[in-house]
Amino acid sequence: MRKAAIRASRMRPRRGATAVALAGLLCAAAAPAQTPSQVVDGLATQVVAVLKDAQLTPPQRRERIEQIAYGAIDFTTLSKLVLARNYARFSPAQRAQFEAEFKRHLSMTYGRNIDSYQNEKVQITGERPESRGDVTVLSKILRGSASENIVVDYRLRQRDGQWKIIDVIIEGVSLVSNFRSQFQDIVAQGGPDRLLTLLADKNASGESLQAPGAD
Amino acid sequence: MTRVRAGALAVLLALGGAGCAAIEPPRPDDDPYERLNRKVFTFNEAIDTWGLEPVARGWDWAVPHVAQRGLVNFFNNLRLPIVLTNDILQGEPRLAAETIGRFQANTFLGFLGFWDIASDLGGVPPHVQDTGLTLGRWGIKPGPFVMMPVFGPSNLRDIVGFTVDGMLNVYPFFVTIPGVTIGLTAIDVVNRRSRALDQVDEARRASVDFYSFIRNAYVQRRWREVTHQTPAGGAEQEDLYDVEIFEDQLEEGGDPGEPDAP
Repeated sequence: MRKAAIRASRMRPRRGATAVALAGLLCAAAAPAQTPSQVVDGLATQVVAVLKDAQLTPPQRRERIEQIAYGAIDFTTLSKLVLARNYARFSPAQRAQFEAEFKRHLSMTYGRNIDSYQNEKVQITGERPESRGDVTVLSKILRGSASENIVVDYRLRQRDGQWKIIDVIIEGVSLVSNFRSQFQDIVAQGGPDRLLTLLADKNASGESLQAPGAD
Repeated sequence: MTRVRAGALAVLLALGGAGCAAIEPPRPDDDPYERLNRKVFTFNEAIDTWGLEPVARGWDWAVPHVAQRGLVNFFNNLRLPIVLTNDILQGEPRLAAETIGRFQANTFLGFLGFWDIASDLGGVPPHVQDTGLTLGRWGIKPGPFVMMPVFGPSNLRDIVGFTVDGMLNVYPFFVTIPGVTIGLTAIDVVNRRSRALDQVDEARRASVDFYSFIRNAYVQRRWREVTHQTPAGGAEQEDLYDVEIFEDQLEEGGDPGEPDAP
């Protein structure tokens, strides 16, 4: 119910949108579901294509990449995992607000890298089944020399028949675990509102804030 | 010197005695000295912001990137005796052979190590290796998280490892002029910092609490380096991907009322 409301509010009517949506439904029905590796590979291929497209302006590029990423990532599950036991302290409205601010935060921080793309390539190196039916897709970002490659793992979970990313693990550091650590103290000390304010401020300024409770 | 060693031994015995059994999964939020650690962190950040980072920016502007990479390779090559010793201490003959091969190739064919020929042509990336890892693989727990002044994030076990690494560092013994060693170390530090300018900027932007970000990343990374396992490996980390426990809590204590109007 709640989710439906959030989703509905996000869907603004656009010209031709219905036709595209219908076509999308038909394709989804006809094509077999993608495997986790195909999802990650598809994500990488699409993102690299956008990065290489010299016709696009930086803001256009960023918007395209946002759309691609939003389609591949399950932000609702990601938000739950990041907030963990504090999730219960958030009201439905606060949850929706958190999801939106968190999305924006990720897009702002990692979106800046778009302009520093230097022909890196993504190689899928394997797949590993996990508990809870999850699958981890193992990959490498190739940067010319074996000593400079970056190991990136994507954890995926099935939702409505589709594999979606629920965590990104860069060189062994899980994004979910890292944000959970940061947010735990903030919510414990100042409640959900404190975290939402901090995130909104950070997004608004795009600048680093003083660490809370630094002394 | 002997006092340092005796102290180190006592710390190791304490840590080892605490848990000789299986290696426990990381606990990235366990930080008994957080108040002190945060103060040290603020101090380190000040040193970086007002001292190291500006110098590194100047360095990055003046020194071509090829030369920067060459210097990183050169100093990594000088570290190989530390790597080799720990490969052997861990009973890893294959890794030890790889390290010897890398040292020979990079030193003699790679212009004293400036060219990491083993990576670029051999396709063999260097492996992370230090005494802290050896202690970890011997089953010694990391102990509490410690933010070291100047040197950054660590833990009790890795501080001991770091001290031993310093003793295993052989090249200063061959350089009889002390100024040279100090100068080389300064170049190494500034050069490495200049290679990480973008990453540190990004980390500062990406974090809402930079101290927590660093602590968590350090604990996760070291755990993976010791165990070769990704975060999904341990018991605590299973909890990391469990959504149901929060949803159960919702039904008991939360307010599963109707959604309020947006």
